[in-house]
Amino acid sequence: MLSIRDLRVEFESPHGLIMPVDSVDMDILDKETFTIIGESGCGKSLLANSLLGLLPRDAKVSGKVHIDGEEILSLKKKEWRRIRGNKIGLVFQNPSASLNPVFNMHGHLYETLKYSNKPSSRDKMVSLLKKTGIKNPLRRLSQYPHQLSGGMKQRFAIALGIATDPDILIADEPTNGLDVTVKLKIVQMLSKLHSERSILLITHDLNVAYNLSDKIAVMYAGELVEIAPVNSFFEKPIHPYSSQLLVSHPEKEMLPIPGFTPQLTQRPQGCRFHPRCALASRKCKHEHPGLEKIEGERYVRCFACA
Amino acid sequence: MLEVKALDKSYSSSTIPFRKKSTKVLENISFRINKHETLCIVGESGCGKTTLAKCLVNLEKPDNGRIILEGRDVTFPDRKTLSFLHTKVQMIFQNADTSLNPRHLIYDSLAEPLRLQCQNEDNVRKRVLQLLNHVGLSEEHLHRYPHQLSGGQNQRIAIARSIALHPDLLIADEITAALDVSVQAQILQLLKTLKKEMDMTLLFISHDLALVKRIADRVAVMQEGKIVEINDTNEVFHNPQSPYTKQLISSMSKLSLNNHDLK
Repeated sequence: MLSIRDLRVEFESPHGLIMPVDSVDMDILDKETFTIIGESGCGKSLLANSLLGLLPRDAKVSGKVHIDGEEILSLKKKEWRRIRGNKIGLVFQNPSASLNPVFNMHGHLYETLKYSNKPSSRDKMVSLLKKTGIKNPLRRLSQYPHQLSGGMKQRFAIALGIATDPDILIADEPTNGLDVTVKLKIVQMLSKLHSERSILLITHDLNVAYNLSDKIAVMYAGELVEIAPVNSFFEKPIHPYSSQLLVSHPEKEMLPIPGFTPQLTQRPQGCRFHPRCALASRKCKHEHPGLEKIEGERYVRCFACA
Repeated sequence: MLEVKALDKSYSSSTIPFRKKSTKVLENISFRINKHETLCIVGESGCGKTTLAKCLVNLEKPDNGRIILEGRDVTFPDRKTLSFLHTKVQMIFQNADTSLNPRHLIYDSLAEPLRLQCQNEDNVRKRVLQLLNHVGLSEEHLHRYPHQLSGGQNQRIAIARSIALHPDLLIADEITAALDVSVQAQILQLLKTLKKEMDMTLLFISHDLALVKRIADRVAVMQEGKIVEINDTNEVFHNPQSPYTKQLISSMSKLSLNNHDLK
C-alpha cells in the first residue's frame, strides 16, 4: 500500500548539514495500523509531514515513497493536492493549535471537502461527526474551536482527517495532553476506524501504541532501530533501546536509560545508541549497523542482536 | 508537617461589568501531609490540583480555610511568615521550559534564591556547582540559556533551584507531563534520591495513575475542586471507594500494557 525506501530529510544549519530523518525503510499494508514510537526530537513528526510534502522549503527530501505503485516525492506542487486528503489524510498534532479559531466546525469541514472535490452536504458532515463520537452533531457544526473541550477538539480533528476518505490516515500524537478517561475514549474510537483503512500512528505513548497497533517501529535519533509485530514486540523487544524504553515505563520497572539522546549536530559515530548501550562492543563504536531481518517479520538495527 | 483545613477558593470572571460570576475551584479541601511521606494528588485537568499547590506556597490567596505549617499559620502570611514559608516549602512547576526565565543564564536562575538569602558570591558559586552535581549536570551547562537545553535538562535545573534552600517540603506539580518516558524515569529517580538524601517530604501532583501507583505512599483523588478520596496507595488502587476513582482506575487498566481487551 505505502512503501518507503531510503527516505531522508536534510536541513542546512549553521553547524553543517543535519539529517533529522535518516534512511527510513518501511511498508504499510492495506488496513494495517503501523505505529512509530520514539522520544521527542527523534524525527517522527518530520517523517509524517514529509509524506504529505508539508516540509519547509529549505528541507531536502530524498528517497522513494510509493503509494499504490505511484511515486509521490517527485510530484509537483499542484499534483500534491491530488494526494493530500484523497490518498493520505493527516490528523495534526495539538488540535487547539491546528484548528482555525475563526472557523466553526462547518467551515473546517466545508473547506476540507471542497478542496478535494467531495460532496459537502450537511448530512455527510453530521455522519462524520457521529462516526467520531461527537454527540449532538447538528448543534456542534455551528460551534467554534474555543467552545469545545480538548477531547472534543481531538475527535473533530480526526473527523477532518477522515472526511475525504483517504486510504491512509496519518495520526500525529492523537492523544497528547488528554486525561486517561478521554484518552481511552479516543483510543476506542480509533480502534473502530481501524478496520476501514491503513493508519500510520505516531506517538510516544506506549499504552496507546500497544492498544492500537498491528506493527510497531521504534525510532531513535532519526532512524528506525526496530520493526516488529505488536505482540511479539511487547513480549520481547530485541533492540537494546526498545527494551530499555519499555523498562522505563511506570507499569514496568521504571528504570531510566542512562545518558541523554544525542543532539542532531553531535550524533555519535557507529551505532547511534552505543554510548548508552550495555551491550556495546568495539564494532558498535566504529561501524554503523543496518536494519537486518531476523525471524519472521522482525527487523533490528543492532550488531549484538542480529 | 503541613495541615490544610477547609480550604475554599473561587476565581471570579467579570466579563459583564458589575456582574461578577465566580467559579468555585477548591471546595472544603482538608488533608494533612506527614513528615517524610510522598503524597500524590491525582485528578483530571481543570480539577484544581495546580490551584491547590499554588495556595500552599502563597501564589494564590484562598478565600477561606487555614494552612498550618509545623504549627504555624501560613494562610495569610506577613513578611516574616512568608520567608519562613519559602525556606520550608518549595515548588517545582509544570513546564520547566517556561518556568525558567529565558533571559537568565542557568547560573543566575540557580543563584537567585541563594542571593535572596544574602549569601556572598563565593558561597553562591560553590553551592550552585554543588546543586548541579546533585541533579546530574555539569559546569558546562551553567553559562547557557534555557532554550539551549533539552526539556529534561531544564527540569533538572528547576529541581536544583527548588532544593537550593534545603526545603522540608517539595511540591512537584506535573513535573514529568511534558517529558518522554525514559526521561521521566530519570527525573523520578533523581527526585527519589534527593528526597532520601535531604530528608524531604514530597507532594506530587500528577494525572498519570500508573506513575502515582509507583511512587506514592498515600493518594488523594480530586474531582471538580473536591477531594473525593484519600487513602494509602494500595487501598486506593485495589479497593477504591468513590465511583470517580473507580472510573479512573478502570480507564487506566483498560489502556494498560497487560490488557488485551481492546484488541
